[in-house]
Amino acid sequence: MAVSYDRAPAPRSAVQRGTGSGSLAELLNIILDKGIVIDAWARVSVVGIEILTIEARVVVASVETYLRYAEAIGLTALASPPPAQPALNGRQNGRQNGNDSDGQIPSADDVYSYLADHQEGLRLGEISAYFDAPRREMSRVVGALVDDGRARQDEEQRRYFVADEDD
Amino acid sequence: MGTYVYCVGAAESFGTGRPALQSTGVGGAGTTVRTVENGDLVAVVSDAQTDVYDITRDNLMAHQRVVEESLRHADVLPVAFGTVARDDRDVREKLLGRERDDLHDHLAYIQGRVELGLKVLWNRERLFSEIVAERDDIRSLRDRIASLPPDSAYFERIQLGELTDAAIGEKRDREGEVILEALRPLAVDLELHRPLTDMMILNTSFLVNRDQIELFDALVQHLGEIHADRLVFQYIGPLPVYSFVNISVSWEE
Repeated sequence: MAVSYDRAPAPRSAVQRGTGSGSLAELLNIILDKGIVIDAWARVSVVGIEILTIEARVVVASVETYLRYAEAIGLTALASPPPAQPALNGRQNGRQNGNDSDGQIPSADDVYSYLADHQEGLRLGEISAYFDAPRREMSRVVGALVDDGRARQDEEQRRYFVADEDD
Repeated sequence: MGTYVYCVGAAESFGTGRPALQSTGVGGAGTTVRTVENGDLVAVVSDAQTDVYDITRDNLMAHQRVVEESLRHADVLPVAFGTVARDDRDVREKLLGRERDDLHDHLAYIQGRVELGLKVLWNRERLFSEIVAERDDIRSLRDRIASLPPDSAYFERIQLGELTDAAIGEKRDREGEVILEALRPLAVDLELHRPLTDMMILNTSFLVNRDQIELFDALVQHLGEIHADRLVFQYIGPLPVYSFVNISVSWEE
């Protein structure tokens, strides 16, 4: 078998191949405490940085670990479609984001928080589409927010923004 | 000044008028590697400038290169990194002499065999989506937490983490066993080391006959391809048989 100091090209095969001196990090755990072990007279001083790095990564079950896993599991929601949720069809699930329970028109607070999530600004059409509400009604809700000073409209771009905090 | 010890082998396999080893020893340029003999056993050594060597990349590489070069001449028993004897005489008497029987037994066992190291790791994102897909309890707890305001549900999140931790453990045992099952028939012996990270499924050393190495390579390659999109295989070797030597020696008395 050919001894190669190069790792196999990664994307094609999942097997990374190396020799001992070619991939020392992979070898650390055996080179230091396996083989013939001779005590007394002298042994290594453990000031090695690399070994400490590896040891630090050893799994310790702790609250922190659990929270880290919970977060990783939570993130899968974004990556994969939620399995149990039926497709949006007609009236049953017409309002994906479940703002208020029944009326077609979202409350001013719902619109405000949607705007707050989009600092780049939103057009009226985008807001209407998101809430699945008639444009005219949305115009009224957004207009009320502007009147209250909680939102403002950029006249040129015709986009709505949340009002700056200190205004 | 002491004697740094790299490995032990049978004198005859190093040949008479032993080939000089080319590698530089631990301790930097000018550190010549030589041998110390006692009867039919040989130790590969160099002069030590200090009793204690730091675990640095250079030192570890030097140690490993000498052992690997020795391995090309003979089947050797590697000595753990950083082993320094008082002098050549200690190596001759306390190691090669006093431990003769044990050394011979080990040499017989590893003759014609090498160590191959295999670590198998999950692709992180894949692992978590597989767990979500496989485990109804985890999926529904995740969905419930997602519906709650962020920063609440602290205990639910810990519970989710605990369930996930247990799920990872079960999955590790299950998947590790499947891979081992495939490789075991080609190995003379195997040694399971502790996983070094939570994404690691297996951290294993195999003792393999030299004439089986190619088959073993092909099988690892095959397994790697089967799991190409979800697992990473880190495969190294042939290595000195570090994991299959179990000799503890004392320089004392």
